[in-house]
Amino acid sequence: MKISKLLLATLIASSMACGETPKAEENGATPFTAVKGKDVPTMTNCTIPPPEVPAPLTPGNDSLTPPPAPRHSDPEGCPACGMG
Amino acid sequence: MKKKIELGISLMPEGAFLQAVLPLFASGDVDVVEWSFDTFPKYERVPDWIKGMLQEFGDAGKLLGHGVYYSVFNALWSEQQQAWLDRAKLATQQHSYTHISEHFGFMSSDNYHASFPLPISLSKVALEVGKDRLKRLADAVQLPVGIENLAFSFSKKDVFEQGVFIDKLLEVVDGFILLDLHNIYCQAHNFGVEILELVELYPLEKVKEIHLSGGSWQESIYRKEQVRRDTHDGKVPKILMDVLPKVLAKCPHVEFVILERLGHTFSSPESVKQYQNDFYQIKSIIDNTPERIVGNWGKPFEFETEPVNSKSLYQEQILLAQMLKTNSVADIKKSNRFEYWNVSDWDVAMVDTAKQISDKWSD
Repeated sequence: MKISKLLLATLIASSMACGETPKAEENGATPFTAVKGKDVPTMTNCTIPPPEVPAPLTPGNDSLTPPPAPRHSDPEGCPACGMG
Repeated sequence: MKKKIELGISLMPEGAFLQAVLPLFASGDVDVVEWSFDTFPKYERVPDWIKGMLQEFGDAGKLLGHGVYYSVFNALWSEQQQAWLDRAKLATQQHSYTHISEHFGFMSSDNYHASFPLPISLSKVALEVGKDRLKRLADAVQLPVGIENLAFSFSKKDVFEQGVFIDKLLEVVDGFILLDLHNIYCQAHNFGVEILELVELYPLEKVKEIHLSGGSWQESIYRKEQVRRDTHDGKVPKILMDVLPKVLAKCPHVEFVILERLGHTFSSPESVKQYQNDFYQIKSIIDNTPERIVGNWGKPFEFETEPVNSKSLYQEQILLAQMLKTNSVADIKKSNRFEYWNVSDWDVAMVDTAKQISDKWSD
């Protein structure tokens, strides 16, 4: 599905806040339409503090893959309920 | 009506995930997105770029909802389950979901922040509990609802019965199956069964959605072979790519294929490339698959105001969770305190694996 230019701009801005896209820009292409599977930004310049984007609570499905997220006992607190 | 099978991805909130999937969205190759609406405590905390995705894909009829924490088989109706339903209802009012799915099984504790999902054996009581919960879900969201097969079982008997169990469960709401092929792969490997043999134990005419993902291997002191885990952190196994065309051919009403990967697992540029390669390999398979006849899902139903409860099953669910925390594998294997599970059939390596996970995630 073709997404709107506005949404694409939002995605690019959010992604850029967490990385850089040197290869694509060197090629003269827009950062995220250059080559499928290539020119992917890295996390090297990420400046967004993790608490603003809570870790996902989505587990795998095997009954054995609980959420890789902080819980009540974790220092950073549980993102599901706010308790620390 | 016929339509082409749509390929999508499961959304994750991390920046690394966004960076990995952005080329796919920019190229317009993502047909549909799936969102686990219950993984954020408050909608306000969902990143803006995900909200934008939910709005745009929802408006286009390309948004699927996938729950994690409902705990369909919790045998004693809980406040958490009601709160979850309220949240699911709110989610469907905020965005236009096409359908909602949940997992087979139950959570090991009422404190869902410190628990993990466990499988359940087929019994009349468990089935009645599950039907009640599924009807409540369908009533809350007013959408087609489905159940995903689990990757973990304690016994081969449960592996072979899961398809029948889910089939009986879905009858009450005319629901659909979310067939997770990596979960099937885990069960097939862990219990020495062929993948397609297991697939064919499910009512494939009810499959509306398929999940694909990677996983990992875990050593066991109880057997030579490793245990396969559904950890959503690696490439899709080649064997699943090989069987996908055959599985698609067996599912006359499948509409969606979703690629899953946890957002924090993109540790290198290679892992990103691998994920994108998986996406395009699946796309190629789908592009070579004939259109499917869209199925009809959902039917009117009635349910009692009072939830179906079973104190005896609930007590055993609590007991099982407790024994996994405190008892040895040998103790569990020789326990005679269960009526709803045949503990003597359980594979010791799987019991041990469940204990390890319990140690890690239970309070």
